[in-house]
Amino acid sequence: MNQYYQHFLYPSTLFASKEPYMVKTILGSCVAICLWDPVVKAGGINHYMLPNWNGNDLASPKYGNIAIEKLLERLYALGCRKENLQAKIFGGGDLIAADRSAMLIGERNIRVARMILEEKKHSDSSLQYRWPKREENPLFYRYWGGKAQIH
Amino acid sequence: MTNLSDRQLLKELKDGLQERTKYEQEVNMLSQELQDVTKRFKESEALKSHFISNISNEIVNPFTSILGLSKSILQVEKNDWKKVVSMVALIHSEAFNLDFQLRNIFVAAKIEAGEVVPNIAKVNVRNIVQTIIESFSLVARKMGIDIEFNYNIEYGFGKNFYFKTDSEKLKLIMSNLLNNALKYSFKDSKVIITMTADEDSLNISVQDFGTGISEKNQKVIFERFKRLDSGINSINRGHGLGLSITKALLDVMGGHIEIASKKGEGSTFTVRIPEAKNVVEGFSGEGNDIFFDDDDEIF
Repeated sequence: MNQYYQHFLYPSTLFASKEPYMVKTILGSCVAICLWDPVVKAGGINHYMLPNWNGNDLASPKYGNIAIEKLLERLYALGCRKENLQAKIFGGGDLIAADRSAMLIGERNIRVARMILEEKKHSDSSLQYRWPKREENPLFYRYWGGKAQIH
Repeated sequence: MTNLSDRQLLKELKDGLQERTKYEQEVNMLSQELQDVTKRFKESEALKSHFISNISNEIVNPFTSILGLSKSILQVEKNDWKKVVSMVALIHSEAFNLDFQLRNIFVAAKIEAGEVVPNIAKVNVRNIVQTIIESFSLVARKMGIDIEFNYNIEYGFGKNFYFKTDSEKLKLIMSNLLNNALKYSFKDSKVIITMTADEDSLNISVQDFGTGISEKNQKVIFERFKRLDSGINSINRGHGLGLSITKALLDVMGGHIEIASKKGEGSTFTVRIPEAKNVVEGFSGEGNDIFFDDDDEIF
């Protein structure tokens, strides 16, 4: 088995590289989008907490619409091509079962991911997503080959 | 196709209609959301351009004074050395301010790029606050403001209390709070910094007796680039990033900030930072194999 570098991805941050990496992150209602370009062999992942930027805070990757754009920017800078990127969406669980109707953060996080990725035509058939129910699940994302795993 | 009775047909149509209304509602909701986001982007863009014109002043002016002052120092006659002291003091305060502003701008850029991660160590928090107070002491003295530091932590090793947190972020948070407190204080008043700790969190409050913030404005001050007195006649300098950076850094550290303020009577900013748990530095470099077992679901 190949040797991988390792990286722990904190919420509101992004990571992208051409080196083979194993990235670990822990998701609840947050969403992580893993992108992988099999041609250039580079990939990246983000971890955002809320769907849309409120326009007030710093425009950080805490917000989905910003985190996705910024991750794409990074990947383009690494030479990735729009048409080659494969996307996988993880997380978006609904942690607080009690106020289902009120917030639905997880669901809204997923929706933003799908909307933006579909709009950018990154999704293809490789679009997969999954919700960990009511618990925080660590996600391991292996860069090389764009494989991801929920532990 | 089976034949439907009128009643069934009616029901089907009704269901279909209801479904359509539901989708319509959803589309409306989405487009509403989209409009909101676009509006915010526009507003933010306007603020950003304001910020850029603002910031070029913030950087260019101190540099001009530093250059001018150091030039005059070079030209001073030997017996006039006393003049030099005051000019050096001015150079220092300009450079200090510049350094502080630039630090904030770079951190803001880093936060927006998603590169800010907690960097936890055992930190002598008392020491940090004292260093920050020390660094602002010249500014404070010039304004005749007394900085009082109440350190109310009894336990710990002797005089020192170690707290697991991110020292660089704490420094920047404290600098911003203290800078604001001094900026909005009246001459010859005081600023009180109080530090307490309970079982698993650290509380630091910075109190000033300056202009204060009205209730309405208390909500706005954390927004980026927003300054309450951003007119051309504003006496205070700054770029309006300080508090939004503070909030974003606290986010990373899992803490939060509160304001208590009354217009004309001053304000108190209190930050509460939970103690970091023992951080696992990533995870072990060896034994990668365990992460991809055969029975694990791989996507």
